Amino acid sequence: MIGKNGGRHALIALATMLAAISAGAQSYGVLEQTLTIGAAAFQPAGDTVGVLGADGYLYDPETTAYYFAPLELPDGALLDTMCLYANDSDPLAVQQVFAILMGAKLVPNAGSPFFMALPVYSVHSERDDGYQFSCTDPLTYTLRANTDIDDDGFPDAVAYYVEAIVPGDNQSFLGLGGVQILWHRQVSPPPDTPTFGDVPASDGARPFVEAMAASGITAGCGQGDFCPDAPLTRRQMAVFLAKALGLHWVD
Amino acid sequence: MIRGGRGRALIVVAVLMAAAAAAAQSYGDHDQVLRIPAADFQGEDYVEAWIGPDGYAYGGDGVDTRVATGLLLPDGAVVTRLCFATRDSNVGPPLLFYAWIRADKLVPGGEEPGSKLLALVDSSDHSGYGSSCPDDLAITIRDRAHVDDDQILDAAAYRVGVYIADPGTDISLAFASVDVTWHREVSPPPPAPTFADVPSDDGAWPQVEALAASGITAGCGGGAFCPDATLTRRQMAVFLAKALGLHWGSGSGSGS
Repeated sequence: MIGKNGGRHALIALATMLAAISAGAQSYGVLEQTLTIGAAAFQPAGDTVGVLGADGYLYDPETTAYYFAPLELPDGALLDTMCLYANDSDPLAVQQVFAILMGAKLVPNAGSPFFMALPVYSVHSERDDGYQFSCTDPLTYTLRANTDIDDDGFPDAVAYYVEAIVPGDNQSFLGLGGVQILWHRQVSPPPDTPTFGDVPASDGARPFVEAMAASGITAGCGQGDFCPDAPLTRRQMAVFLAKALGLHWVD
Repeated sequence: MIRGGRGRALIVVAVLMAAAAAAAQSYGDHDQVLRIPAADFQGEDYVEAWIGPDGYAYGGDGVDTRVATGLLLPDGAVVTRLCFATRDSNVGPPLLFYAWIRADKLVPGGEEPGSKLLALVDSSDHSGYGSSCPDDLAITIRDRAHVDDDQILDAAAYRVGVYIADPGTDISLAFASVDVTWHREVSPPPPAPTFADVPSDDGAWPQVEALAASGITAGCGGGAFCPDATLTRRQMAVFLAKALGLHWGSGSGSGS
């Protein structure tokens, strides 16, 4: 059996691998929205186990407990802020509850696993300040499923998660309530070269048209064109929507 | 399902099952089912259920068993049904055995935590394997909701849980999963119309308002939406790409 730290890391890797194949159930549009991860949605990593108290907060690990929750957001999501709900009533005011945004590299055939805190993206409770809510400074971090997280020149499969740290006190002084992530959807940047002859780089709608083409929703209207000014028929509307959303699988 | 010495192996099971439970949901406004298997639940107060050879999670061991997990649905989702797949082979007097949905309030400074029971389904004390599915629920999941009664909107997190009363040494109460049936809803329109040419008596008013409120359209200028204008293929591309945040597929990309 692997040692404590090794065990924890291996399990985090497993968990994040699985997180990569799960997906969030969030709403649409490009405005800011909130992903709430309540205490009950966190999983402990390692040997210490907390108690979900009557207030719904996680308490009382015998030693410092690490919890994790997958960040179930779509590829290309832009993180705006992370906020932490905590109960920090430690009269000795020595320890704090932390939440940290993490990225983990999933390892293919060779190489070592790697995980890191996304730079400065952590938040902690204020000591001995009771039930409280604190947020990071504004973030601008685009979550990508494939990105070079360990800076070795190769894109990696990356899974994102939130790690929460609840120091051991055995006194119910320190509790994790949950984490809220404020984020919004973005339309992907267009490729260097326009795909369609009639939607050149100067066309204000090019990023959107390119995004639709890259998603396989449209292949244009033939001869390398998109016919952007042609009126949309109801038939085309039906095809676009059904393809875009994968409609409609119900018994 | 994690407890003490069995922690590592059980975490593996838990995350495997969690991945299944967190599967992406589909589109449209039809009913869909979020299936949360027993292994995805965590014990409260150090007490855990145990997975039996039938894949069901059993209570027992001389204690009450309380397990719960987060209910992750999009803002505005409406929950209509809570199904509880159980094995109830208790031969003694009926024992408490139920599943529930609660809203928890996340607490800013100066307030106490709070929690509200939204739904409860009893095992109906049937014998053997079965399920109970009350379908008269109408719970709208909101990121901000009135969890307590103080008129101030609270940041809400939602939980699904199961309670199994102590059956003593008789291992007779178990559950396989909790199924949450839900559907998407277009948000209610604001009190006043945003666009002069889409008044509140327009049949598409709620949908047009929802598009505007989602940042997908700002109208056609001059405070109008031009609802009867023909859509060009270019406009369709803008609407769809903005709505869905297209397209961040595989391939290289920068992390920041």
